[in-house]
Amino acid sequence: MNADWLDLAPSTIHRGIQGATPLLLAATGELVAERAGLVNIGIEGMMLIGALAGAAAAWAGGSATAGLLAAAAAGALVGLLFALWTVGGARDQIVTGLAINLLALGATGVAAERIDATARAGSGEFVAPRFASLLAIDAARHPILHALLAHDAITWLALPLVVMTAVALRCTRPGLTLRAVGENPEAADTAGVRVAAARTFAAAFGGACAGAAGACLTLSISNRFQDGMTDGRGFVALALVIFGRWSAVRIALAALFFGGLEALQVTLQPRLGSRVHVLYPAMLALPYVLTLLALALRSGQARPPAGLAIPYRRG
Amino acid sequence: MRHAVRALGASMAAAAAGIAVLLAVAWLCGYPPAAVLRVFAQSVAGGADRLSATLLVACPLLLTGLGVCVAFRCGVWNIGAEGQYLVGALAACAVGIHLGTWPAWVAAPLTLLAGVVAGAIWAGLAAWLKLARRVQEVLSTILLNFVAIQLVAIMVHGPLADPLSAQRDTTSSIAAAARLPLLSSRHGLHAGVAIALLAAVGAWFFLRHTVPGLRLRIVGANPIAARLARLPVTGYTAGAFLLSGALAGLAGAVEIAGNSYYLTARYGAGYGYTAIAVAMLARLSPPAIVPAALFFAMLDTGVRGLQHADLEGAASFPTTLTFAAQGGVVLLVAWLAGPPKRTGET
Repeated sequence: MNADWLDLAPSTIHRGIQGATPLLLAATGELVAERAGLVNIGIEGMMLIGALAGAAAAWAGGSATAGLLAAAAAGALVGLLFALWTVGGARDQIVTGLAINLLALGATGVAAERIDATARAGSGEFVAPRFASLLAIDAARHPILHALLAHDAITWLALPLVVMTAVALRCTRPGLTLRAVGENPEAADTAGVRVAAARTFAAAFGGACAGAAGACLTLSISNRFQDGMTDGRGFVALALVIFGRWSAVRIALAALFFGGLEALQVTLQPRLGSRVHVLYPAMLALPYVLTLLALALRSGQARPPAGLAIPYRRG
Repeated sequence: MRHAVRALGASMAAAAAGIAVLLAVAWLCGYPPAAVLRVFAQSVAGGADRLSATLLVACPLLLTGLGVCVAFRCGVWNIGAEGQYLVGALAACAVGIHLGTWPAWVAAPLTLLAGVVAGAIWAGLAAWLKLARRVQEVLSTILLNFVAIQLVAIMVHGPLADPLSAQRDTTSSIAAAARLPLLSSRHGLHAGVAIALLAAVGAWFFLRHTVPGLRLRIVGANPIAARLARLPVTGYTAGAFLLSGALAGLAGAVEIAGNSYYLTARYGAGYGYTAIAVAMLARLSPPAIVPAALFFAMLDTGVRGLQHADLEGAASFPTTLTFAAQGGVVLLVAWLAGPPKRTGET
């Protein structure tokens, strides 16, 4: 192990935490939705819409915070669309989620091209202002502190969000209501819980989280939108929920692990030498292979909410 | 009967809405709708070569759509047609390159068989994960899609790389003997289109008129009743996975052996995802998958035609519009189909 590799560790850790943030946000939203009995495959599309809405609002308003709020709002709106179909209409959740993914991929592509054209017509560029690091730490003098703490507002917001979600689900009355709706909607309904309202809220919350996760990609990790830039992150977030066995803390740890893998890819890519064309795709496949392996080894112990993916209709 | 008419009406309405959305967006983007419609029709069916281009897109959509249909009919949520299609193409390419000295009547079927087996194996992984390790196939098949994309990249840059290609990002072409015969050499229309139609007839006959087909549908419609009736639910579930993967793999192999002849590092065309829209629009009925595949193929060639057309309006026509139309059609079909029946409800 030479000094060169040691020098790379802090930047990899920094990038890993940054890369874990969108996964963590999206997975936390999915956790709440799944605890309420909704499987949202459309999380990938909601992230894409959040990424574009965030970039567009930040570009137009000149503020990254405005972008984040717009992204969460756009995600929540798509979440409500999902709820209209799956809760209000009791339609199949998987089909609805898939349709939302296709719709989002197409709609963001068309809209981004329009915004791009508008920006260029005003002799500008469609580039969003990025979030700045909240703590100014000199990376050269304190590399480890910088790697662990010099993060922007989205990353710092993600942490309390996970803690609050975990506490709310476990210890509060609304959290209990939500879980009851996911485990046994009939019983919850009999006990006077408004099942449809609870599930609709969960879908909107999941959408808002996915939207914010998308904003990470355009306001924190990079500063411009690209077609299909979520690149499967929504599906990885979906896997993290199962992998973390519907517990917020385990999900957070898993998200950090996957963020780290992503950071390692960036660090190692220029150092793969002549075999890069073969080794780099292998590295890109690794997170998915590991997810599959982890699911194969662990999912036997997991117990999903009993009412998961089953539409509930009164009557 | 009334149900069938209603289903047909719902699908027609959804398809019409898809076209309407496309026109509306084009209009919002500043393109004149009349010109858009004209160019669209021109690029879909204006002349024999345009028509055969549409049929060439419909062919893989038909095969992958049938695969999705068989799986969904058995209650297997195989979202992995894209990955199964890719490994099918990969295997067909790997085998087809080496069949130069073989007679065509062996080489071409062998190439297709390689794709069928590879697709079935890829789906079989998800089947094993579901049946032995209780991993939801919705997730495992999606994750396997991403693995398949990188597997193609690894093989194209590595073992299968064409030594003559400077970038080493394509494979060599498959042997002439391994290629599918052309129905019309001028338009590149290959025998795979006939194979796809035969597969549709076969899938219809299997699901509708055979005992295993009926049992597969029972397992999908009501697994509890199927178990009570002592049907081998596990066996049928595994069978549905394998059959659906085999059909998607065949689609990939047909595309290699009939259309492209070699692989590139970024080969996926998204047929495997469109296949789900095809199957949903057809309401999971094999005969209806033929027009549904044609419809989405039209959408694809039409929008690509618009992109290359010289329309008034500065920017190039957005091709991602195809995905939006697909998603819109699926959402609408899901809505119009009504909520699923409850067990015991007729």
